[in-house]
Amino acid sequence: MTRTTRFLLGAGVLSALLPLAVRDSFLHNALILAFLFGTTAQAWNLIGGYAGQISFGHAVFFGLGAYAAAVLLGRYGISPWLSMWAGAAVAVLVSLAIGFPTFRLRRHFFALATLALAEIVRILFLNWPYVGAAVGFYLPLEYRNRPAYLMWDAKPPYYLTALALFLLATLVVWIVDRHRAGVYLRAINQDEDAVEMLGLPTRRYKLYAMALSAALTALAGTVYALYVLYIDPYNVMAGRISLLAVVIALIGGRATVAGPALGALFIVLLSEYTRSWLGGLGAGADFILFGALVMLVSIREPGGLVGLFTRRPAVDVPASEGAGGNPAGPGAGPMRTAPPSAGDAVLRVEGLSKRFGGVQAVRNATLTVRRGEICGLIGPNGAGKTTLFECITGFVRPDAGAVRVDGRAVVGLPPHRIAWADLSRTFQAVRLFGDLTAWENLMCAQEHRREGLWEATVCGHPAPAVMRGRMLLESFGLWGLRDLPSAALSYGQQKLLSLAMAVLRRPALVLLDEPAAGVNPVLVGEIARHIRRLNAEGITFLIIEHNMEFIMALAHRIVFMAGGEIVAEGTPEAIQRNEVVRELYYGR
Amino acid sequence: MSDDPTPTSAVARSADDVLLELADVHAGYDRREVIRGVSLHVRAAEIVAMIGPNGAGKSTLLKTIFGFLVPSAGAIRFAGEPIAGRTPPEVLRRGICYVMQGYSILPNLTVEENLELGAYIRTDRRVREDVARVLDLFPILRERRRQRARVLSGGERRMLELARVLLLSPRLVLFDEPTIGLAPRVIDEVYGIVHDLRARGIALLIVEQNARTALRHADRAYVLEQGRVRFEGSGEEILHHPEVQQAYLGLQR
Repeated sequence: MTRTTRFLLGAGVLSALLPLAVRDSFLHNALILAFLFGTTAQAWNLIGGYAGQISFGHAVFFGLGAYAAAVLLGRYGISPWLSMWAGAAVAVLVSLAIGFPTFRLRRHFFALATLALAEIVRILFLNWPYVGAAVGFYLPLEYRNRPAYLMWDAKPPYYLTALALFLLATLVVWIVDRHRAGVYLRAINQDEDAVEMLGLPTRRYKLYAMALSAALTALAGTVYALYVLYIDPYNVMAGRISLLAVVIALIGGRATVAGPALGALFIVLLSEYTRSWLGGLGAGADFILFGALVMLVSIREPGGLVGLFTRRPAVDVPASEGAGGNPAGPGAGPMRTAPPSAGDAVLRVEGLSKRFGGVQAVRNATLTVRRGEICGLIGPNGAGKTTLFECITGFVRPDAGAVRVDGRAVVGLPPHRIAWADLSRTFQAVRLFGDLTAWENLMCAQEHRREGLWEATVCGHPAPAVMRGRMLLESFGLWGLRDLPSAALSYGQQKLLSLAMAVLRRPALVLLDEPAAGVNPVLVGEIARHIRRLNAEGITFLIIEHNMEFIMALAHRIVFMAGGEIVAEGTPEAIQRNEVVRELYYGR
Repeated sequence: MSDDPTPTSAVARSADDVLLELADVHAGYDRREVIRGVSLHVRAAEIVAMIGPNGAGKSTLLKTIFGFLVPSAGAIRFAGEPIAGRTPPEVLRRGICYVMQGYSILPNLTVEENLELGAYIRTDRRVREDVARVLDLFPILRERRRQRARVLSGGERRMLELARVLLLSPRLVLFDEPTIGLAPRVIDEVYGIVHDLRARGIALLIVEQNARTALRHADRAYVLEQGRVRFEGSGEEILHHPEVQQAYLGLQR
């Protein structure tokens, strides 16, 4: 249990006792609102903070929760204990309806869609007589002071209800944060394509975070309606509520459990008290002070209020790798392992073509990679090597041709499904999740094929992945750096980490895009050694590389591409003697 | 500097032609010191290579010289004038250009627009003429001057970055990883341009992982490790120094 967690638990217990000690009705009201909007912000945090999908429409879910309780109670006498779940269910359905189409697109479309959704739903409710239209909806007062209906005359019971709900939301976020799902969501926030390539179905996780977020928000809306006893689209579906959720989460600290709690107390108490002190002055003096304080916090603590409590310790300089050491370790030399006896095809590319505008990037490429080999793919810049990788891995859809991974046709599948067909890849420029630690990065690369959402939410990393992960980090010399954010690693260490991520789940085929680029010569030798050892474990490699010393010593076979076509292939010796290659590539 | 016997080049340090001089510079990020007392110099029209393991602080040093980082101690002088603590635009105006590692071109702008933007700090009216003149030096870029930079290959992007630098008539170019991700033939072309620049009187400080190539082209070189200079000497000396070969160049071949 971390300090923050203990702090939260203590704060929870103390705040439950507060109404007994302090009988200040204004404070009670302010805190009830802080808890309810804190719940909303905590819920928003799941999708907006962790997954990084900014929603400006959470008022819709808040309003749906409020209306579900009010209308079902007012018209049919159904207890809020039941109707709150109805509200949550409707909110979940709406959230999936908005998320399903927009999560395919770039994330600003999602933000815009939520904004539009908020307007549409608000206007709909304004004109819908069944729910009171613009007149609003009064909650029937005859149910007051009956615990079965969650309505009272006094504030303390509301206070406890709101507090309990807030603690529930915080608990949910805490559970997500502590398990795999939290790591995955934070990774999605940083680089969706890279996550997808690790075999993680990103859209499923975004929908999951969105649905959970909508449900929690609706619950807050229900309690709010029962508290204020009158609702209309202006007080429960206003853009103000959506913005409040965003502002609280961001000021408090996004993607942290404690952030929205701190943010809610700060923002709501501040706005309530500035209003009561300065509201009488007119001309919005309270808003000016409120705005100024919010700006002050954003400037002083860009990471949010949590930054005040969790100072990051000074980071030790990671020793620069590949320095001095013993470059002449076993296998550092140019010795190549024996070429494997002709295995079956792990990768078969047939007649693949891709055109971008006027440029024919890949032209009728046919290529087979056999099980157990290390195959090099070389060629001038702009030859289409990376485009070929993009087509194989599903980021770019080829215009023509077929790709089979382990016998399975994969053209048209999303990248994570292609990853499941058992391949992984690294990117030309390293694409790690910079805010995540080295270890978290690595664990994102575990096997996702049969991983359910529930499992990801409540389970830690599976033992085999942890064991192999540790083994890999130790042999790559990164074990001591596992808790550093990957952005703090040197470029060479980042390259090693991305190699470890590519081989963690032992895929049949690994595509490496320039593993030696930007790496010092000694480390290049080490990387070659690691690749040979992994190859001996049974992993097949297809490697794009410009470092000729490296690839000629490492590969069993070389494929040469130029102008989008596969021009030559053969043993490294044959390729180096090939006239066409010499002219096109070496320029001599 | 280091305690090791440094194979210092015998060339005398004549004060007048030293363009850039660093004296015991310390720098880093937050509380993390990456550069731990580096002294080096670059003369006018000289190609100086800086090699060393990843994480040694090479790129950090370039950023410090250019003003992205403020040194915590030590002095940086350019043409005799202290520049430590100056902002990048101020450093740029004094005649130092910085070609960053990777993606410093703007992919959505055309080649020509990239060049014009490169001359942003110039206030004279001859930018267009100069763009045309620079394009004469790079026929490949001239052909593609109306195309968006995103369609350029890796080598052409490097050319564009160098072309852009020329518009500012710099006296020193800081060049971070000029050949990363380039095919062997293109590497030769890039170094061809590097030599052209020197012929025009421009000095270059080049950071390279492709150490052998860099050393072959450099007049002088420094080996950086853990934020300190471990060796310095002429490119040839460093290339053939047994300890450097063993520890930094790998044992290929």
